[in-house]
Amino acid sequence: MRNLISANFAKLKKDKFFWFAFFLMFSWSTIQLLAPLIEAVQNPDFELPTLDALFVQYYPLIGGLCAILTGLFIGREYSDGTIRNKVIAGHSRSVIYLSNFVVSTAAGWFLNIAWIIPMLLIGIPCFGMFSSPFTIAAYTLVSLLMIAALTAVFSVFAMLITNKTNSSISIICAFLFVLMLGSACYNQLCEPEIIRGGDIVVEEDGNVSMEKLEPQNNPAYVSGNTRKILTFVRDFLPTGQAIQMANEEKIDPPIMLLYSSVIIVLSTYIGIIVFRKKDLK
Amino acid sequence: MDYVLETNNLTKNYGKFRALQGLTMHIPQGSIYGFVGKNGAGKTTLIRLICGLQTPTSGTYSLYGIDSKQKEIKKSRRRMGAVVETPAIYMEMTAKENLKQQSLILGLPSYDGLDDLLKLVGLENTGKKKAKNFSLGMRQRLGIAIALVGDPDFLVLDEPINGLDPQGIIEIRELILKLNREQNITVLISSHILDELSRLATHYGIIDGGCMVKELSAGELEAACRKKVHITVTNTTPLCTVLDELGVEYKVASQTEADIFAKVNVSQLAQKLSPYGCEILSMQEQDESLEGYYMSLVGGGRNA
Repeated sequence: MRNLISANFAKLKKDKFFWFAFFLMFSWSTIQLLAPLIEAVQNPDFELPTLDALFVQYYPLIGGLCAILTGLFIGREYSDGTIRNKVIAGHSRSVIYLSNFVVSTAAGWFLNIAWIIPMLLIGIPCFGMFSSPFTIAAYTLVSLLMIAALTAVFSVFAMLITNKTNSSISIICAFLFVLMLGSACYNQLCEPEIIRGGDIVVEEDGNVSMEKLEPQNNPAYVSGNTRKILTFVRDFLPTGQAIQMANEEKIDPPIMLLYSSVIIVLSTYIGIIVFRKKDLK
Repeated sequence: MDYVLETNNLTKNYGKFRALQGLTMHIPQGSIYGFVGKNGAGKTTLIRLICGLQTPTSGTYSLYGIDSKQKEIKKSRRRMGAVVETPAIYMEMTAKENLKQQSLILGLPSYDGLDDLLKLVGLENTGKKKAKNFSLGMRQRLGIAIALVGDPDFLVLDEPINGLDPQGIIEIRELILKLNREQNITVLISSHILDELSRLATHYGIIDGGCMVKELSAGELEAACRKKVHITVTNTTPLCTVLDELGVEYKVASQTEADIFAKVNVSQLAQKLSPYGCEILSMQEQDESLEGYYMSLVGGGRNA
């Protein structure tokens, strides 16, 4: 296992897309910090956002980068045929699978670090310390397992579909699907139970006044078992977790860590079982 | 005799298609084993099985005496190197980086000897050139170099000369001979290019329709390949009468040409044909090639 992990890290070090994604995250994080600072210089009335608000922006999108990275990183093993070298060298299928998963996950974590570095080096001196450091620490912990859970699912596709293009497309489609599902659940759950509104009345003398309406039940509000199911799906899906963190919602870290662990164990177990029986060419 | 690889009644099905049907073969240590068969005969399937890329539907094989059903089979594969179909190389890496990568996969303690390996396959001057920019022959040689990392003593090469130009074919042939003679590496080489195989192999296995038709050594093949005399005469009808009288085996190719499978006394034959007004126009002694022997075993058709 150790041999394959070090071989995979050596391969990752030479992976062009990995470095592209790394610098993309680094640059995006830097721009995210510099843009409000420049705005504040140009417009003295501009109110700087908190560092917390800037820090959480990347969670939904890092999954997309991990999807492409995992698809290309593992897919290349099949397109170059190098996965055969590992089998012929006497490594078990489980070890080959796990080593690819471990290094793909580590690659996702490196992208996480690429985002965090400018936040710490530029963000703290310019915006001050995080207003809720414990929340940010919890988000970071959850995000690490969230990335591992997404990569575990992507690894199933990448290890079992031998055509690099097909596996990459499948992985991206799978990511977009869970992103939309997580987003739909989140939006649905954000609907208020009661709508409190008013009519704007323009009087004859030109005065404008607001006429309050009676509070009404929101038809889009979901309750009962449906709400429980949507809440579970939102918290269970890594993309649902990401959307909540990006919106600085209050989360339950132990539950989210548990859900991510379940995804990792289940998908890796299924992936290994099928991969062990797979005929390689 | 010590065998590096033995297969016993090996069968592999892909759905309803049976790619291997009870194949039994024996590869002696130190040999260059030419695995001959048509496209689709099951050569690559067998190689995939012994490399652990696929599992047999039934039957077993043993590598260095270790049965495929034993756990130790994975360890015994460390003693073999293989190039299956296309060379398994990282296209974005240089030749040296590819070898380093294989060293890491094998868990070798150092990169010592990699330069020698590059020299052995003639890739020592490729520098920073990436494998994607290599010619087909260079990639094939790099594939062999990767297979040689870890000093295996059994090398499996699946159609190593397919698509190579004449120069590339010669280079690969010389490399295989060098590895076999100087490093005593046993080589299993599958091919349907019979002429090329006959220049290398010390043993042959002829496969057809997933079954082993015949296994024999180069010496046995030589003995089995009959010498023949190709004769051109003015008329083969009297020739047949005379050859029947002499009790010699022959085969008529046309009205003026025939093959005689025996040593003939030219003067005696000419004398016997003379009363029929039949003249000998030419005579050439020929050896039956591996190709001829293969055809006699397997028959024609398709592209052997």
